[in-house]
Amino acid sequence: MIDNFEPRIVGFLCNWCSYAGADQAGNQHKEVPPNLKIVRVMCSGRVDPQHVVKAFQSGADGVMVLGCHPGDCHYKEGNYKALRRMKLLEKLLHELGIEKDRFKLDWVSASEGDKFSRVTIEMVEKVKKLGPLTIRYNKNNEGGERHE
Amino acid sequence: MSERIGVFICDCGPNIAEVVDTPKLSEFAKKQDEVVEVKIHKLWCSEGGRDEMKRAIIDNKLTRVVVCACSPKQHEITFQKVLASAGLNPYLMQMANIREQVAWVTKDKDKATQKAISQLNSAIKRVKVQKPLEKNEIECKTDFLVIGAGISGMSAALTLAQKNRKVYLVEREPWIGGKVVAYEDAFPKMECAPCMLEPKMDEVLHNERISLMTNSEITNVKGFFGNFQVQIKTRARHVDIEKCIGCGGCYDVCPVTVKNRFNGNLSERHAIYSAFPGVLPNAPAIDCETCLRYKGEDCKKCEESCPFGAIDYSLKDEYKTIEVGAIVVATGFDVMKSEEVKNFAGISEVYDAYQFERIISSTGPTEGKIVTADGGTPEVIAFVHCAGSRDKRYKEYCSGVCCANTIKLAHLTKKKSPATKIYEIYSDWCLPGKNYQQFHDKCIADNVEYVRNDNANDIKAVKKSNKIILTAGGKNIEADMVVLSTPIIPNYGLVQFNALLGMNIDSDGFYSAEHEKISPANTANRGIYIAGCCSGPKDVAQSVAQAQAAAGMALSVIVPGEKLELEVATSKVNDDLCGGCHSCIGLCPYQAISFDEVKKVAAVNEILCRGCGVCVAACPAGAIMNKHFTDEQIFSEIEGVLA
Amino acid sequence: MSKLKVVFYWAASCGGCEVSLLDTNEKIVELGAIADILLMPLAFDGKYHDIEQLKDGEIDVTFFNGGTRSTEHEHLAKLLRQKSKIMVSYGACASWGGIPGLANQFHVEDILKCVYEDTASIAGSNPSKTRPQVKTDVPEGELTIPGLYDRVFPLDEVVKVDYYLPGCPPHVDWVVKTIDAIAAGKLPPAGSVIGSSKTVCDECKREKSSDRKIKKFHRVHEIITDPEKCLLEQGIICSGPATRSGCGGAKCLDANMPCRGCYGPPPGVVDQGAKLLSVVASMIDANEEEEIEKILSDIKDTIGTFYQFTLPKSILKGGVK
Repeated sequence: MIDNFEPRIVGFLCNWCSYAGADQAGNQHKEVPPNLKIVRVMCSGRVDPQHVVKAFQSGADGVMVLGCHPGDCHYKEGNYKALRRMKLLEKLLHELGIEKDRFKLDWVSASEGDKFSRVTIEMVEKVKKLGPLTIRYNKNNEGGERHE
Repeated sequence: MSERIGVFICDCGPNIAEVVDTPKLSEFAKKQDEVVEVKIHKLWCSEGGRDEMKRAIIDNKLTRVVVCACSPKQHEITFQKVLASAGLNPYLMQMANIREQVAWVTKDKDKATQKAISQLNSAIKRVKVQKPLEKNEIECKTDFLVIGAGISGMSAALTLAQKNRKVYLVEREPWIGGKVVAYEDAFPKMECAPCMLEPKMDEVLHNERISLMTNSEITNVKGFFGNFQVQIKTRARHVDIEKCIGCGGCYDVCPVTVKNRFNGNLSERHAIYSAFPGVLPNAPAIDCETCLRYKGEDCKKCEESCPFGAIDYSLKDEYKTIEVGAIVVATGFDVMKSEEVKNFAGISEVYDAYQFERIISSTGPTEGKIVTADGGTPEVIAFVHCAGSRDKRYKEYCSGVCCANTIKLAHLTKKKSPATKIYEIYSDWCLPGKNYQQFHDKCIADNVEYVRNDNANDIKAVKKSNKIILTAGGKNIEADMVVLSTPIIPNYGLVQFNALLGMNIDSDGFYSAEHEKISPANTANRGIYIAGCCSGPKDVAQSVAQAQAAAGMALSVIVPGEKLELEVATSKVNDDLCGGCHSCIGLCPYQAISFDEVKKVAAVNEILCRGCGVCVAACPAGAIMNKHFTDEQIFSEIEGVLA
Repeated sequence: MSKLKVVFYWAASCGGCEVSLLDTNEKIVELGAIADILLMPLAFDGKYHDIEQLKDGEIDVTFFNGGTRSTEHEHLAKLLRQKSKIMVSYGACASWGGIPGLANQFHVEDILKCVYEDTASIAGSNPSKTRPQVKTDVPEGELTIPGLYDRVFPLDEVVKVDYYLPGCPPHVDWVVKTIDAIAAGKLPPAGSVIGSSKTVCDECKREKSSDRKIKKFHRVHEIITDPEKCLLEQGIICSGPATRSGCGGAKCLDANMPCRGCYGPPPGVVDQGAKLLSVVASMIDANEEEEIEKILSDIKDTIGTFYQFTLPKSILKGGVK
């Protein structure tokens, strides 16, 4: 672990359950690590794999996608679509060398302030252990060093 | 053209300011491109705060607004209204949630301030690419359709039949009244159930705003909220309701006999029949599935017997298409059949509660006399609670009404057959609500013997000569009859019927409400409401309440002379980009996407779209856009929080 | 009117793009009539030195194919850019990195080790682990060969590109149209991708249902497919939905093969692989995590499947360090 490393985590939260769950954590004054930066979407089914890779490319050390519990989706079954996509995305990220613990799909309901606090703390701890994520070629000129 | 962004930072009294350094946020905001106005207020949502914000928008000619305060779930609408009052489109505002998601969850002030700056930065970046959105409205049909003429459907129809409204009430049976009409008495006050129904049925039959269609079924549903086109098939009754006086003279001449389902198959009826004496509408119907004439034989016996010439074999099934704005589904329930409870399967004189309800009914197969198969008075009857319920092997839920119903049946048995010894084998009592416990306590006087047993589905039952021997609660009970309180289950035809509506069905097979607690009569299908036991076990009072709620919901949104307001942040297909791959169509939970065969592109019906964005994330061509959650907006936010 | 001066150059590519010019059939004669080809390594032995002698902008148009992997590629890209009025990114490799761009998953050291030490045909036969050297001293002096970069660059990350003509190879119709447009001076706005704005599905004749579901994924050789039905619905991953059309009528699909995605992302998409992945996953006919994982276990090479031509141009460009 790198000393004093504070990972940057992007959380995509569905409006109806997880975003409300994050608010609930606030209402209950639970601890949520400041490492977590939140992007609100209407449904976890709106999260496009492009958004997740964009977050990693933009400097996130970890990404969370949080939605309603299976069966509880405000839009019937958007979270199942999220589950299918994120499972395949996980495979891709793994092949790209991004460790499993850097990406998490989970379910947090509007009443689960507790769970929201817990899963975000756990996420930060895990990513802290992994250290910073360095995208191999983030800028256009990276990877331009000559191999002699 | 560059934007003029105003950033309004809220201290929220001490709530935010105690943890987040708001002046530092202000300094940060002032340095951002296109930000022309930054203000801190102790409470922007207060009247004074809102006035000040409105003035600031007007005075600074702001084109975009960021409110850095509490959760948008708290005050997004409040501030959208401020924008609107200042003449700015309300969708040009973005909130940064620095109270619930920063100040209240972060102890370290520096870290909280840093996080607040990230969220603020993200909101500023996002608001720059937000677009003004307008509310759309559509014309709608103001008539209603109610499916099912039981207590729930009738209650809904009567509530809906307001001035200038027309209600189509469709019932698949030739009679109305549903299950309740089959009951002798209703718990807990033991009023006569058919008498309680009578005024409602009468009004349904005579209300000129209700078009009652019995012996009818839904065969097609097209369209959507506000504009449904529904095809209804009315099976030919072959009896002219106007001419028939319901004398019943035609029944016995009919050579066909089949089981009478209404009586739980405990009696027989003819092909021309009324299910029970006193059916409404008061006329029989010919069941063409069993009538010899419709099997090719030249039988005319009923026609010949009718002194009023009411029977007409030439009538044909009729199809009618109606246009309605909303639909109330009240398709009712069945009870699990006693044969389905394995430990009692195959044993004769084991009845489910509905069958026993018919046995004790004065309109039932024995006209209310409780007799054993050999015609004698039963010495012992055992009522078994929770059979087929509260058990992973059957239905896991408790139907909530069977305890009271079983007490009622025991009580009626005692009244009709005082010599009969009654056992109630129960595991727990479920008697919530007004009068139920009192009802139970009162019936203790019936001298029923209560036997507590762990699980009804593990009771050992064997038939020996003409006795059923039950081993339960450490006792051996020799009963002549056993009555199983089996669970309320969805109507046996619900799954096929639902193919027409495409509604959500829960794991137990009932219709799902949009939200079980806070919108119990709405469904995920806009404009389709649910009432009664089709959405789960209920007693009469709960069914009527839900039916009236469903009707009220429909009346409140479908108003003559007014247009329907639609969701604003819907999804939209860019025809120039859509490759017509069809992938989005099946993914839409609201059937809002169809394929335009002329343009060869997908088309989103904005009336049905709720803006979830599932199709947007799926669209491999990037052709579908969610108006308030575009990729560009989300990408800006991502860059913003990570900058 | 004087003849156009045209260059065809290949960088990290297979050469198929230049061969594809022959698909112009008799048009190639017309091309000869309107244009002088100054450099085309596939066809004749032009000299870089001659190009260096030209005035800036003297070449009317360069069709540059292949990604940039070596110092030579970079040198020629920059040189031709300087000497050309119009730079066309020709083919999938120049535009998105193409198949050679899949090597961006690995560092150049890994690649060299694989090629000169570990690969089955080499193993054991190169005990001294000899590798080509950028500089070698020989009695006659110093020999040099181009050095490799750590990754493949799409052309527009090396020089400014005026037009993109994607494809593997680009469809000949677009080539002819482009040359005609240049000759007539009627060019689309700079930065345009020459192709359709729609996806391959738009031109694909296979029948698509409105309830698309996948219960099992197959590779092409594993099943006999229904030639009338959408391949995706038969469990064959087809890049068509997330690929710009322009290949001339979904040709691979006509040949009973899935689209591989060589025309790159359609205009509404940033990352072709991520978007294809999203739609394919959405179609999986399961809601339980375990079952989904089981279905997905049949996809063996996720990167190669979803980013066959576009990894260097994807958001993550090739992975992490």
